Amino acid sequence: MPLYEKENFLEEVLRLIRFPFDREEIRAELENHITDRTNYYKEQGYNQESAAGLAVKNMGEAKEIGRALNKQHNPVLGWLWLVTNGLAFILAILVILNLAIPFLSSLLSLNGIDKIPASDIIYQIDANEKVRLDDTVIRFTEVVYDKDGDLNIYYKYYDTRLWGLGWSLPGIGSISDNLGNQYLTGGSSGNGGVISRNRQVIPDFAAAADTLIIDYDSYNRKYRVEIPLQEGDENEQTK
Amino acid sequence: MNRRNKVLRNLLILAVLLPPAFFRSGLYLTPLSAHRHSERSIHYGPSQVVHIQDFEQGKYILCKYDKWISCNTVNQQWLFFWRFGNQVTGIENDPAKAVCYSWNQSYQYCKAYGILNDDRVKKIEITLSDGTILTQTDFYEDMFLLTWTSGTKNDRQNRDMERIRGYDSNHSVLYEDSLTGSPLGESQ
Repeated sequence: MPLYEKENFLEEVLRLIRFPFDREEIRAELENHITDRTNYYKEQGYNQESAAGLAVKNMGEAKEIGRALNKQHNPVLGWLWLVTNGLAFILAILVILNLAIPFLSSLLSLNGIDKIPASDIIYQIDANEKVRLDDTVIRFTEVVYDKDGDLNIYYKYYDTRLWGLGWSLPGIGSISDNLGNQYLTGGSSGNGGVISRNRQVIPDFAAAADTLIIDYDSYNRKYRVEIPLQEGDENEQTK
Repeated sequence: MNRRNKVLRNLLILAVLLPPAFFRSGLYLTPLSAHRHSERSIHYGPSQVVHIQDFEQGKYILCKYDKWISCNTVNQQWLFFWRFGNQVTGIENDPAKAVCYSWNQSYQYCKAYGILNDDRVKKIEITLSDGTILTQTDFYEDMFLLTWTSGTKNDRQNRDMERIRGYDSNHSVLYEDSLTGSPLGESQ
């Protein structure tokens, strides 16, 4: 019964393979060997049944082969390979979700904050003021004064420790102007991400003011930013 | 590539991916590490830790920083890790008051903490809206921390703090304040 002998042989060998995920591969390899040998014996003039029987017999002692193959397919190494494969995959997904996606989203959402229609703009100033709070860098990029008398301060901030997570910026500070007016901040919006782009609205900002003053003084952290608003300033882009 | 090399390759990938995956997860290995990062991230401190107290979700960390006092929370996560809690920043101490305090609530977890500016104060007593009285006589340096719960997450009870008193050793009231309204920093 060559088929029975072949299956018996394969079962006996595979029983000794302790890393189960390699058994299929080993079975396929052994079957190929047996098929090759069966074909060889058939070419030598044996009929199918005898050729198959001889092929199995000439494979050698099943237990000996099983032990040798088990040594070759080291189960410890096999499990280590399998576990590290899984962990690497999970970690790659986590890194993509936690780092790459927010980073890409920040890069791609360049216009994530609502822009004011050009027809509503009284003046627009390109600011380039950078300040730092602990590990957070804040860059004030643009100031737009609109027809409603609102001053819109555009700024972005990011954590210099790109791998870290933390609280979002609690606020940019108190707002005043060169005329001595103090302002309550209105609504703000931001897009989050690794580089957070934001707009802070200051309602009813004095049209006559020619300097915007942003003062941060909280828990022993301080900065002061003065942005010139005068018409005719070289940074201005009147629309 | 043989299996030994594949394992080495995987270990190398893990060594590269593990730090960013861990740090971007917001997890920390110790409560103090979570506390320090939380403070720095919100631009406060570094404060001096006066006392650490366990609660169901993690730890309360009672602190002083310059003229402020605070009681940060850090939450335990997956048994071995810690992450930011809430109420990181503090209140400014008013040395003119015998007792300067704050109380707040996050979900059902409530805490009242403060500093004793008058060393004659030997006992702090707070009264909750359901009549419960909590006291503290053993202070942490010159600070106190009283904690309680207002029911459970799904069955909240009204156990707001209504009054605080500071007594001297003769049980005379040196400080008293009554409260109305919601606590600071309440989150539902």
